Amino acid sequence: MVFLTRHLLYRRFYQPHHDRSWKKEMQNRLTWHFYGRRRNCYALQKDAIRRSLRFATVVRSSRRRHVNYIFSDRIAAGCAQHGVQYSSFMRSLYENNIAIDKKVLSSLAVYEPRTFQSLCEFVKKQHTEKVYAGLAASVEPTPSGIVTREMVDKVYKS
Amino acid sequence: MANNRVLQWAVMARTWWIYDANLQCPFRSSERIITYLKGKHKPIYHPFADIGDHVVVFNTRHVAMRGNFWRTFKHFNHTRYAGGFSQASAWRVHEMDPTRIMEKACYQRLSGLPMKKTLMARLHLYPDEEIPQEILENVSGQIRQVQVVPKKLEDYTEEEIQNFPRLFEWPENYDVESYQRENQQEPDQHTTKKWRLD
Amino acid sequence: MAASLVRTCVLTTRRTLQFLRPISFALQESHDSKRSYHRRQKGFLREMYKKRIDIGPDKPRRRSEWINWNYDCEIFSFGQRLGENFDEGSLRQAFVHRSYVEQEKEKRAELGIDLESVPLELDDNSDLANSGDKLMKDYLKVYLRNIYPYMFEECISSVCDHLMMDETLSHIASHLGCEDLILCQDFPVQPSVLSVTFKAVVGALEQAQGKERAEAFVRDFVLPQLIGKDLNEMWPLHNPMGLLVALLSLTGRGQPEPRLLWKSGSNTMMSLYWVGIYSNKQLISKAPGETVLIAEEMAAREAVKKVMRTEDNRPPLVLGTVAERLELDRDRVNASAEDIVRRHYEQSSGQSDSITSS
Repeated sequence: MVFLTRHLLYRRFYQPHHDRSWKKEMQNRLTWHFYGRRRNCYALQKDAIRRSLRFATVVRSSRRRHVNYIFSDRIAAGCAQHGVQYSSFMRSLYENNIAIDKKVLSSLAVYEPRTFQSLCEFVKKQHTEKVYAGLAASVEPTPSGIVTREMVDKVYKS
Repeated sequence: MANNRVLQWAVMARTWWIYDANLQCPFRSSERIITYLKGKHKPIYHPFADIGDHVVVFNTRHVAMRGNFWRTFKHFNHTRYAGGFSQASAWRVHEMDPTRIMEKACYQRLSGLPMKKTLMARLHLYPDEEIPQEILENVSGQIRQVQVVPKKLEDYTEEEIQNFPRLFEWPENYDVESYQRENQQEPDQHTTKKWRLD
Repeated sequence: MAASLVRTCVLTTRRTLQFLRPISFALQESHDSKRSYHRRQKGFLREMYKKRIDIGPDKPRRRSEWINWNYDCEIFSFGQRLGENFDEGSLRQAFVHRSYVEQEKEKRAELGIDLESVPLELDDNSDLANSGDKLMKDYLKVYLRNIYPYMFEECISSVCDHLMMDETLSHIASHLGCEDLILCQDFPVQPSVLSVTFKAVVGALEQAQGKERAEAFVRDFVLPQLIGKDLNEMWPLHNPMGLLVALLSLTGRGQPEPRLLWKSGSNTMMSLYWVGIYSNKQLISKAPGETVLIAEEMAAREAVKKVMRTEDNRPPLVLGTVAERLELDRDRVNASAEDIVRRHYEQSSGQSDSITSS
């Protein structure tokens, strides 16, 4: 038997026994928030840690998505108080080049309701202007209930 | 910090809403009701935060299901013992407990939430228009109904029915009555023993 | 066979090999061995940890007890950090607390040095602190009166008192680095000593560079403490509704009428009431509360806030370079709430007298 290095040779005679107490400490650091015996028993900790780390891997990517959902919910709730739909609100802000992200919008909805209200008013005004520029402008001169081909074309082009 | 205290109180206080379930679809209504139970209509919403409101629903006896759902929609139960499965048609369940259809519709919509039992405790269901006074005093808001309450044929006066425009008139000697079938009771094949009313 | 041969060879020449190995290799190995703690170190580390807990935290020491301390240098750089040209003598004096002077005198007495033949040329900072205190109080009041022209005199003095509190001034002084420079008997330095020192620094600045510069210093360091704080909470107003009644009657408007605007969950523990106060059928203010009485009181406070123009959405304080262009009216005196209430009662009692006499 040929030993290529000194370490490989020594391994035959001296195998250091690793102290488990350090590992125990590390495990305790990872399980301080668990419930029951999984928190303190070494043998039960092992599986629980493995499971929690597996979850942590999954959540690392999905957390951002969930946080984003909460932002959307909050903005939608703020919009609903002023009678604006979430989708039209965000679309209008995008079209008018108001570069506020969802995080800031949601915190505005919570902590600065007046600022958020003014944004909603802006969106509503934009919407009415658009309506008057498009469909309403073509409908106005004709009697109600009549739709001509010209009107349809006009709306279609606008 | 008295000013901040009352402002915070105003944000966190639970509002009481009322909902009239008269001739409303229970499934679409429950969707709207749980928004208020979960507090999703508030900008401070968070799925784990307990910020939901109370909802008082009355007239649950008069909910309306579309299509053939009173017969075909089933409520299931399993006792977790062998052979413990049972099911009942919606009309049967409604006959036993007139608030059950609405309650179950809301509870099922809340599935997946750890707080669903807490939220369901804030849903107050009453079969008819009688609501206890102490509950009614709490109420301060109304939830919009999901659909327009249709006018029944009984609500029209005889004059209105007569004046309604007709395409044609039946001949005087035409026999309408004898063609109407008798209202036979539906054979309840799908209700198992547990739900049977004897 | 070959393996066992090699093994015996190596075992016999083990010591020889250890001598033969290069130094760099030995260093590397010692570095590698620190990647983890060995089992035998466990007990040692635990013992050290226990001892550390038994001994307790380190005694706080003055910065001057540590290495790299040059008092002259620090005194000079204190002024330079703040961008002010202090007179060195007065700045040194500003950091000498009375307790330090007394301590020095006691020391000399113990050593048997006669104070008359060898006088102790050390002045404490009480004079400087007094002049600084006066300047700060004057300037803060003038500034607040000009920035909030509708604020009552009582509220202004309580805001000023809040700024002149030991807690506020010691907070500023410790963050400016006065704690290391102070010469005083007690350690750690007490907040009262810190606040006196801060006032003395302002006094020293006034001596060195004049009043205007010292006022700018106060504006830059003391007034920002108001940012994010509710000015109205600093004024303990016990009967807001009484003040509101007096205000409205003196301005010739109708009496305040509290009305319940909205309530929810009134039979529950989490009941909420919104009360609005109307005058001449116009809504002046509204506020929420747990009970109707609390909501009414809060609405009255809200109305007083509106009168003083110190609502939550008030514009921010004028500070920084913009504040240099402020033209402050030094003789300005705002309306006093006490005066208003007294005038109201005189008027109403006069009216009632006239009614009873007629």
